Amino acid sequence: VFPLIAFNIKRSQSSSLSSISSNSDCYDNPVVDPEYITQLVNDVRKFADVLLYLKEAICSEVHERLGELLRVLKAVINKYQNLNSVDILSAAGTVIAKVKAVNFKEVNEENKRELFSEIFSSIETLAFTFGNVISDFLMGDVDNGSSLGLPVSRRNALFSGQLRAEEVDSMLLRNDSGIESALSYAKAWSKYTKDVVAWVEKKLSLEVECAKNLAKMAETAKAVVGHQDYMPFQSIFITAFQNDIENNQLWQQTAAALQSNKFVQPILGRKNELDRQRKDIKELWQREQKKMVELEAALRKAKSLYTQRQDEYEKAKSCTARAEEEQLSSSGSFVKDFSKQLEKKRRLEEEALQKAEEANEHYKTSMAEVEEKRNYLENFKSDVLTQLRELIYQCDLTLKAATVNLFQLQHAQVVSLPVNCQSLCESAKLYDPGQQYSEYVKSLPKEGIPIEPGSFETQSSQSGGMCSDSESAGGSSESRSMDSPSASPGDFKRRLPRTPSTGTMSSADDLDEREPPSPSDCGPFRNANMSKAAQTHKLRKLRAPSKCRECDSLVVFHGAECEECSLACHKKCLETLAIQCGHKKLHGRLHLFGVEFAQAAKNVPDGIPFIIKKCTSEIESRALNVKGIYRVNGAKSRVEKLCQAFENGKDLVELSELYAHDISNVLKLYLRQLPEPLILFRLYNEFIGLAKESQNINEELDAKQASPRSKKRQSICIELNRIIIKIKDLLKQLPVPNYNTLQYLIGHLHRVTEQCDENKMSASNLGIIFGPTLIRPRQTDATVSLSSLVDYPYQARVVELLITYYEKIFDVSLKPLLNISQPEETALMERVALSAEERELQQQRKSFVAVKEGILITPSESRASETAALFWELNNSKNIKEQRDSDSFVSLGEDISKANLFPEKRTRQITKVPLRVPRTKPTTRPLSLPVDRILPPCVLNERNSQNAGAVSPEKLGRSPTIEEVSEVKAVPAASTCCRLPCYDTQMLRKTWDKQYKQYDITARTAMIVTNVPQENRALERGTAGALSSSCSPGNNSANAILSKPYSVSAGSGKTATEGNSADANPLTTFRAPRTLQPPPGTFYKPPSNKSKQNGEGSFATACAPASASSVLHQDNTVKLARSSALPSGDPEQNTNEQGTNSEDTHPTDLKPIYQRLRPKRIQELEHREAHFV
Amino acid sequence: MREYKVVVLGSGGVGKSALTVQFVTGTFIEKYDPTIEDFYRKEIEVDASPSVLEILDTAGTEQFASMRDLYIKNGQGFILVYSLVNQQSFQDIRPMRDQIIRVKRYEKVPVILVGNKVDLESEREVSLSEGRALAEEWGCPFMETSAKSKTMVDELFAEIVRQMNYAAQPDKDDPCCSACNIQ
Repeated sequence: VFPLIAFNIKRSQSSSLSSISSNSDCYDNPVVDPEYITQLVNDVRKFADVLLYLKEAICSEVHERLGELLRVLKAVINKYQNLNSVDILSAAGTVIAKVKAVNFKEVNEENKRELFSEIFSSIETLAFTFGNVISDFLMGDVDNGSSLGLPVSRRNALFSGQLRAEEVDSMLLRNDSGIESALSYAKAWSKYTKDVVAWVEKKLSLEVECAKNLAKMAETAKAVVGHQDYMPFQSIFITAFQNDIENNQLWQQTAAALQSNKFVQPILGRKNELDRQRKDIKELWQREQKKMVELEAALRKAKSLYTQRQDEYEKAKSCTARAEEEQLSSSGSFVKDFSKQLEKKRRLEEEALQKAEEANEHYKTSMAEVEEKRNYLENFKSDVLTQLRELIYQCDLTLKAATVNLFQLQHAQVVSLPVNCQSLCESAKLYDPGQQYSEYVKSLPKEGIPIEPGSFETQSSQSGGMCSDSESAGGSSESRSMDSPSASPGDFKRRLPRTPSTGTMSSADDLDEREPPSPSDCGPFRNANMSKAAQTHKLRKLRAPSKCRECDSLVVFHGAECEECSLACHKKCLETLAIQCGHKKLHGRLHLFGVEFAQAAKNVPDGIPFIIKKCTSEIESRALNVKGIYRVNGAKSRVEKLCQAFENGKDLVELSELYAHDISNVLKLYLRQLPEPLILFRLYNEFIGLAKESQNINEELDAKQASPRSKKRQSICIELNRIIIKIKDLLKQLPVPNYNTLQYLIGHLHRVTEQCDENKMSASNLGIIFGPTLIRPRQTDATVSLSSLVDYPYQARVVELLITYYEKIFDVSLKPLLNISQPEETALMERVALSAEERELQQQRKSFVAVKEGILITPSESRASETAALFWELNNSKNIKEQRDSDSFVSLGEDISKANLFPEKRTRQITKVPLRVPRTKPTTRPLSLPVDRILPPCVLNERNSQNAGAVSPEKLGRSPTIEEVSEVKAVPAASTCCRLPCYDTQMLRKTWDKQYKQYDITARTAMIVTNVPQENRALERGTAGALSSSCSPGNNSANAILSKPYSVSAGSGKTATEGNSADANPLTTFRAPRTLQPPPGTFYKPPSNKSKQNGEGSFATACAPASASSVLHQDNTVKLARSSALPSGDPEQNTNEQGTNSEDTHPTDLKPIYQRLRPKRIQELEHREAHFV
Repeated sequence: MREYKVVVLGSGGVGKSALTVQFVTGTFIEKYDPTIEDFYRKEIEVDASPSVLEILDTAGTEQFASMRDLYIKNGQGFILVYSLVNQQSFQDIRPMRDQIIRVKRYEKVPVILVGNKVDLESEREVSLSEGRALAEEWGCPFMETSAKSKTMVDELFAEIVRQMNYAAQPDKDDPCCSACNIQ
């Protein structure tokens, strides 16, 4: 046995340890006898010596000494069974583990002390434990509980006496078929474990399948139930689902563990080894036996030979004797013969004797051989038996460990169940019937009579609505509100009987309890260390077990609870509590992360989830200049805690004490965990496509940067604008909450980029980080494919574009910019684009003249053309003044109006300097103008429309002041604008593609149509082109817009009367809105424009679309287009101020503005119309 | 000439790209753009044997964490970078190493732990001993580098090559018997 132990020790600590226990199991329990005590003392001394020896050992010998120690320990334990305690074995196990853990190759003088200190401490523990057990033993109170329970009971109960290992062997040895029995046992063991393993595997697979299905069910149920707000027990069931899912995960993990290293594999490994060795041994044994049999046969043969030879010898002997007798009797003449014969016989006899002796010799050696073999066989048998026994013991050991594992794991996997169920049960008991209903009613839009919600509120704060009457009579509404927070099962039960009675009793109870906490300084928790948020609560002692809102575990003792919002929490959690008091009952736990966006959005009027507002506003308030904001990760633990706080406390979470990176991380996490990103799956491909296009454009731009004059650059700018418009258009397809949220978020990120000098987070940086967060493809399978990797840069590009062109894409610039400053937009614009636009404008101007002339020829537009001409003049002469005056122009609103329109154009066209000047001014403004843009846009639109009106007045020859009075005059134009918007929206709703197609058609049709219609169309297109090219058309664009409106209005007939843009208008009007729609298309598809242009013969260049269209239409439109094309921002501002704004709104901003503001705007416009009429 | 596939891992903004670019081109990049994924190739001589390093510079930003499995599958040696001026980045390292072990299903993957930005000594949040202790726990080399001042950058990449060479040699220690796995 000892060698075995040593062997095991060498192999591994675990097996050695278990071998000790297993071997010890097999020993008979020696009777505890006083006689042994002296012996015991000796043994103990020996053990102590070995321990010391081990301690002094140096690296190389540690293992041997450890082996010796264990041998001695083993011997002692075997001898004194009562010392066989778990304590000693586990202590010994630790020592072994520690020794084994040391890699002696790496030991050197430096770390020796460190390494060995652990070993020493474990050795001391062992010595101490041993001493304890010995003293207990000597004092006669060995704790049976601490001795190995299982082996003892097995020894005592199952078998009267379990055989010790040697006895087992000797018994089998005595049995002839001992080895066969042992082998057959091993075979049976193998079969048995196979069966067991098969069962376990089947069971596991069933369990896994079941777990999977359950998890799936829970998942779907959760998804469905999660959507239904205000349902009773919703959070409980969600938790239940969550528990279920987690539980099933645990089951699957357990199954996996069991299938791999915990049960199945070790057993199978052991079984295979057993089988192999069993077969080897069997073969060996059979070979040995065969040899034995052969030897025995040889022996038998030798024996028979010997007997035969003996017989022969006997025969020969008798023969000789007879011959002698004859010789004696017949002496005489025959003597000679006889003597000869006798001689012969004697010789024969001798030979026979010799042979017999040889045979005898052979027989004897055979006998000896057989004897030897038999002995050998006996030894071999005992060896084999030992080997088999060891094998079987080892197998048993493995099986034991595996079985323990199996049941331990099974225990572990179910142990959490009752607890979870219990807590769910507890929290279910907390629910007051009707609570959710009242919550629901409370959350309804407050259109109804204000009294109603009030009553509901009281209800909700009280435990049960039905009992409120009686209690309120007692004037104890406060006490009730206090009760509800505690809302424990106990309270619940207590309340039921209580309700019918008058509330006085209960209120008295409550008053007693309430008295201490009522002071605002948190009563019992006054001296607790509290977070900022915790200080907002009115705390009192928790009266019933509840769930802590901070750490999410159960609070039983030392709990705090807020009187007002009924938040419950551990006392120690007050230090970190992040949820502020909302002064009304706190919502149940909200599922926020990983929940469909639509669900989060529907609770908020504008569709922007509170968590986004909270996080962004906190970051804006203090973290915009933090380096790497949004890039650097937060601390995972704190982030998780914050997420939890958000789920528990909604918007009451106090963020001011938290790290900015944690907050930004939570925001990213929230967005990333949305099942569908803000930019919906269905738009993914289109966005990525646009990003790719823009990427290409960028590359082209880079290539062309050196040669700025090339016309390609212009087209590139146009391309870019086109993409931006397309993006705008795509975004329109988003649900309103998504759109609002995206706008809000991108606005925030835009503000982050404005600080990028400090925080290093440029739009492209943020794009990379928010790319996969905001826009990602629907994941077909769980694994990340390489293709998605390829798309990452484009996702990033999309977000970068959104951030960079935020103001254009979301029309935000209009709201603040129009009123205050246009430059923002320009600033946003790419410089390249600007310069290109400028060039375009210049070209256009030239063409404009021609156009004007043509326009002049046309009948209705005389005024427009005149104005255009005026503008031209103005441009030529007063460019600079006008540019600078642009702001003032608005106010002036006189003849300057003409100038106004043009000045902008001029500013752009003529000198770059003026353009840039305005930009700088506006940029500051946008910063200051943060979130509330939606309303402003309306105003802007209005103004724009007004401006447009103003323009028309200008044409009419009146002084178009932007002021409303003057606008009234302009109203007609405005009205037309209004109508246009409507058209626009319609158009918007139709897909752009269609529009484009239509446009093509229109172009052809235009060709067919008479010159006048062509002009009209051209005008339209021109405006559109201007819009697209400039993104934000300025004064010029305004003109163009005017032209559009006119055309539209022409449809209505009013524009015709106005006669501002009369030429084109009538025709267009006749054609109705559709003709208007095509124009936008023209922008996208320049060639068509060209064709038209060709008809006109003026512009065929790349800028042709815009320029050509403008030419065709009118000078005004042309100018507008150009102006717009130049610095989109400037034009917008100017236009807004001056009244040309309508264009701006149309091209870029029109869509959103219209959609949102349409009603107001239209109304206003209509009013104006009325005035005008 | 042997090729070595090295993957540089670490959380956002710790200087993975800076280290890599410093090594590959000998320049320090000032720009602060998050990486999505960059690939570099460089020939160096380590212990007198020429080697080709294929370096995958990965995204640290957690948005791209899902790609990490992919990196790890393809990599042979791993440089785990944290910023010693950012305690959190040090905390983020451990799960990454766990992930490597999990994906590789092998304990002895060649790994080097690197504390970057040692030039910012005054802002240090992670002490030398903390880093060393972690490396000891993992049984891997540890160094503190600076991409900015080019401290230990070349040594780092030479060391990872050595690690990969070392790991390529067959392992003599038998894994324990099956009984070991149980307990």
